[in-house]
Amino acid sequence: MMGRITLDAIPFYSAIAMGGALITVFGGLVVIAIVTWYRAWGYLWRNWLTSLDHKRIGIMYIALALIMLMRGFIDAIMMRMPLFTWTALVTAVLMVFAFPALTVAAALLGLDRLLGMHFFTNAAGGNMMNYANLFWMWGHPEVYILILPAFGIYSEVVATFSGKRLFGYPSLVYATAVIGVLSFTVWLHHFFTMGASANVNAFFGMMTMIIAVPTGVKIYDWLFTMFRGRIRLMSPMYWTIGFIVTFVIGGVTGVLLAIPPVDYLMHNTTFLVAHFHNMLIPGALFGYLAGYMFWFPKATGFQLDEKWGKRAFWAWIIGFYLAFMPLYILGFMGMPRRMEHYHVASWQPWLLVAELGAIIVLVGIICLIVQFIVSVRNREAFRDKTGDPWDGRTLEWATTSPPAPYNFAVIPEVDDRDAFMAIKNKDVMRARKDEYAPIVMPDNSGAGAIMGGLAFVFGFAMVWYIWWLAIASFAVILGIVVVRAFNDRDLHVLSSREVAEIETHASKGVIK
Amino acid sequence: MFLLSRFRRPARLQEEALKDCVVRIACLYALVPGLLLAGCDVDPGPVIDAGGPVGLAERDLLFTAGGLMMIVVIPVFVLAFWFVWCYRAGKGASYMPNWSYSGRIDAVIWLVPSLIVVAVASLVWIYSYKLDPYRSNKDHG
Repeated sequence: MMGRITLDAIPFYSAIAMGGALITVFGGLVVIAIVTWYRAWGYLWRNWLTSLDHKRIGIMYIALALIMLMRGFIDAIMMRMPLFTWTALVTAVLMVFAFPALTVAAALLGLDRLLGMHFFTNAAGGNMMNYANLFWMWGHPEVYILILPAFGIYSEVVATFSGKRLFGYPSLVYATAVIGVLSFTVWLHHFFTMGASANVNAFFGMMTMIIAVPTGVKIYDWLFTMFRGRIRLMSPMYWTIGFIVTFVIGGVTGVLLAIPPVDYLMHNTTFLVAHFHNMLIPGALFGYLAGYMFWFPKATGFQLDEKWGKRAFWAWIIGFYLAFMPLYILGFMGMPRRMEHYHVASWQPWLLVAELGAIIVLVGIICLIVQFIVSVRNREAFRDKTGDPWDGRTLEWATTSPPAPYNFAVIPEVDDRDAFMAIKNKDVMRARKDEYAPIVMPDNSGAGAIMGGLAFVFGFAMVWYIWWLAIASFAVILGIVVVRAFNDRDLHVLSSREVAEIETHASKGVIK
Repeated sequence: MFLLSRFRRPARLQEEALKDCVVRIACLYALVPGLLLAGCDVDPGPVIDAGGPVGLAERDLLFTAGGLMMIVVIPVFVLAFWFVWCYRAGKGASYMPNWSYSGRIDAVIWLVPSLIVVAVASLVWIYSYKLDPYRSNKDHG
């Protein structure tokens, strides 16, 4: 009579699940009690639940969404996502909200240029600083769009190569989210000298330095991930350690520049140039190089040469310090940025040091190219047959290198943060079955690449007033959108036999 | 560093490893004054060697804020080199693969930077007004 339900279905074994369920059940009972107490069942049924009034339906959707949101927090299902996934998610949210400002700025600029309007010229009531405002309203969240995925990469690398769970995972997640929100509240620090009142400058200065707090927390979380670990010093880890040490210097100079009176001193000097290179080279670029060396075997099936990777690191880090530390000093000496030529003798020694640094960075770039060529040549020796060359912790390492087109033939069940490490610790072999369900795969499509190319042609034609080309390229873009939207046959199915074949090959380690 | 002392285990090997680290860190610190002095014989430039009262106030603000931030920054340098040195594979230091949270460390790494930011933000509030270049003359009294 009760189907499969028994007392075992009640989660007594888990305090969290039990607590969440009890709160939900009692919350529901309280609501029912309140509705009964006020004798509101008839009113609720007639005026709300059976209503076709779209305003009331809208209100009920909002109430439902809020309830589902609360439920999501209780489940906390997202708190087992790898940190890189979190940073990618926050980055995507930032892109959704930041890019419209750039779209508007570009559209208004187009109107100024093409139709003689005056949004950004001081004639006829326009204001140049509106452009700076709109541009940086996009531009500042954009630097976090650049750096947050790199923060995710450092998190994965530092946990993997320390052979340890990531320290302070909830802090890292919240810090990422806080950075995402705050990134929209700081853009004015790019032009404190615009002439805004002290009120405005002080507000944006303070908001800017608040971002330093979650970022500092992240640095310490990565440090404590290494504490009591077993650190393997492979090339991705080199970039990560170089980042931790160098990035905090840029953090300090960033907070200094966020103090409006100090910014009046340092605005548009090489101190600023040194600061943002200090953030984006060790912050973002080192992260992407770490990610490149970390995931290269997963994507291609063979590892990159370690020796050349480490050489590239040393050239980059030494070159970076030599190239940019002198720029901080030159900033104190009052050197403006973007100079065509100069005749201040005391700047010269520092600029020569910076030039030497730039040459060493060039050596680093050459090392990266050599590393790539050497690795491709020796790819048979560097072949990754296990799919898990670094003793990885997250699920991508459970696949072959490179992975099958569908990634996982059987969707893995995740009940721990480092899902693959948990599987390895339990000593469970990779799930292998005789029968596989067929898998639906999306077809490749050239639409994106072609539209991107044509959008470039359209922009070029608009800038240079080549009207026929602008109209033609825009018409083709529209046409592709329409054709693509009406194309209903953009999927193909891998039959269960094909999936089984790929999986058998993968288990023998002979996949191409 | 005081935070870490509570994780220290009485294992003899590790005590020695720690001593080793401390000595090395002390050597690193000994180098710092030398590096600072090395900067003295160059032209300090208009920012450091400011002439007027506004320039001097701005410079002092720079130094104060920079100094405050050293509370967070110097431990990063020390811990980064210390941890990499002491916990690299093959060194035989203690290994806790599942240790991933400590409420105390979490509290300190959120609170200390927050307090520093409160301090620097107060300076920002006060000095953005004091040093506002658009302030009219009658406000200066």
